[in-house]
Amino acid sequence: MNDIRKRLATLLLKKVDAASGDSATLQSRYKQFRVSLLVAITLIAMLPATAISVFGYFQYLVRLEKQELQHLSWHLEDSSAKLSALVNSSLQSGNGLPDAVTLQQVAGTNNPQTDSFIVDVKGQLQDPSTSFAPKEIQFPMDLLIPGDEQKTFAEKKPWGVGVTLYGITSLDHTPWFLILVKDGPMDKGEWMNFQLTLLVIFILCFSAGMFIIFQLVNILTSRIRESDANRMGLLSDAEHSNKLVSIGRLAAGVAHEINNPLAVIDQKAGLIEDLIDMSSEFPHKEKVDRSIVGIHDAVQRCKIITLRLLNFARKMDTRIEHIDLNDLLYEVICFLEKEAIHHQIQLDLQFDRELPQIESDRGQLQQIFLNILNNAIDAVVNDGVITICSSRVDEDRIMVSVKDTGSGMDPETLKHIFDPFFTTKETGKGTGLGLSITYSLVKRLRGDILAENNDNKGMCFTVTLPVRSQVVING
Amino acid sequence: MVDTRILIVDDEVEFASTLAERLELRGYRASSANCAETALALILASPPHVVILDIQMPDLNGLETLETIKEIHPEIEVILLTGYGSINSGIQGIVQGAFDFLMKPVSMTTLLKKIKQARQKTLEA
Repeated sequence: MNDIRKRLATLLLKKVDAASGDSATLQSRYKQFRVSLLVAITLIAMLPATAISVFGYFQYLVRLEKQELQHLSWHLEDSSAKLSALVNSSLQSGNGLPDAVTLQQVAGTNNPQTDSFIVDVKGQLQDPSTSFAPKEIQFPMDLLIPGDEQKTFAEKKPWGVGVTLYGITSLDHTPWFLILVKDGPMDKGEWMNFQLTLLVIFILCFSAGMFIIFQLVNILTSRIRESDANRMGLLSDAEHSNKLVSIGRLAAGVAHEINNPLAVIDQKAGLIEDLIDMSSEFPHKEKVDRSIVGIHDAVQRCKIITLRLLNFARKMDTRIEHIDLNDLLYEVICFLEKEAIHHQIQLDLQFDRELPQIESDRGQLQQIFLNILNNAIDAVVNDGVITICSSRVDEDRIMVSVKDTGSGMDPETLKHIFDPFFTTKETGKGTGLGLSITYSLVKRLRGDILAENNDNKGMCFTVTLPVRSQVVING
Repeated sequence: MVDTRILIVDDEVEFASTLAERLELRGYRASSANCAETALALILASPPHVVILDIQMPDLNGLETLETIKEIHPEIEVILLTGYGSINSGIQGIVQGAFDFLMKPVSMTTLLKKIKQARQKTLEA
């Protein structure tokens, strides 16, 4: 079963290749397609996700700035009070300014993120800083408006990302000021820039991704549309061909039917002619003679007409070639596979791998099996199995059977199944021509077709065909 | 002319009987049958020299009838009458031993010529 599916797939691929170039370019095309799709999805999905998480993180940081400044403010107050007391007591005891380490400890800035200095009104450093700030700092004192007790602000780092938080307050009872410096989060301006950049990147990537996906979807749908149109085209071709064959068959039938009475007229006229010739003169003999001639001529004209009709019927030439029937059946199955899948019908293929090639007409065989399979699909409606078997009957004949799990048919209806215009479908659906055409095609190929009910359920159509076509003259 | 018995086998009654009548007027002993069974019965009862057999008959495959005739009386010459669609059968018939085949509608002159030739063959046999 699996290798049959593989063969089917190979055949399908062959068909696609035939339509769209060689297999290698097809493969690479599909590869490109997949890669583009992946890139597009990545662009669209990954970047926003990243952006959102980064956004979130930095949003957090920005909120922090406000908080940080607030904290700095409290710290400043707290330190200011402590330091005032410390400095005053140190001075009063005559020790001068406390050393840096003590200062830092009391100010609570003995950690890498913060630093504190004591400056005079001119901004000159009174004690050396031990932390990350540069050794000499000339503090811009004009920032401190006279009268302000305390001020905190954030300033963008001259190097790198982020801000530095500054807090400044005057130390009570001393001519000096306390400056606290803290490493702060990203500054607002930078943050806005960052957001903007990220947004732009996001939009670009998203647009690019969407564009790619849009194109891919277009390509995909146009391909699907193409192949659907093809299929429809093939099916409508088959339908059209069916109709032509049916007209042909009707025409042939009519022609044959008429030929018989024509022959009778001809003979009877001939007889009259013979009798006239044999008899002696009688009144109107000449006229009767001429009338006979007239009858003969009219008959001739009718013959020409019927010949034309029969010629039309025979326009479907039979072209004999060597055919691998299993391959042909696969092709027909390909046409209808979508139909079957759509109705959840399973196709069970049991092909004789040793089946010999037969001499027959490809187009007509396709027509025959297309009709039978179509019929089987219609019979099953939904959820069923159609079993197609091919086998050799004897040295001269092979047989193909199509079994369905439909509702079968009662013996009375079964008798008329191959009649033209006979259909069990509701008006408008089905022309009733399919099986009658199938019948005449099978006969034309010197085969046999049998329709019977299955033992358990549904119907079975068996087509027997000769391995060798007999005399190869159209007729 | 030598005594010649002809049997016409065609399911079209009027055609067969009229043709037989016309042949009679020309000195032949002609009779007609409308189906294979009657034909075979007549052949067994009183074998003709020439059989004119229509192979478009629906009830029994004309070629099968030909085969049977050739089996029971191989010396009988059979002239097949074929329609437009059964030329292949005509050729097949010759392969199976028919004397010749003519396409319907058949002209009297052609038919008479063929009958003469077929009868000649039976005399030579």
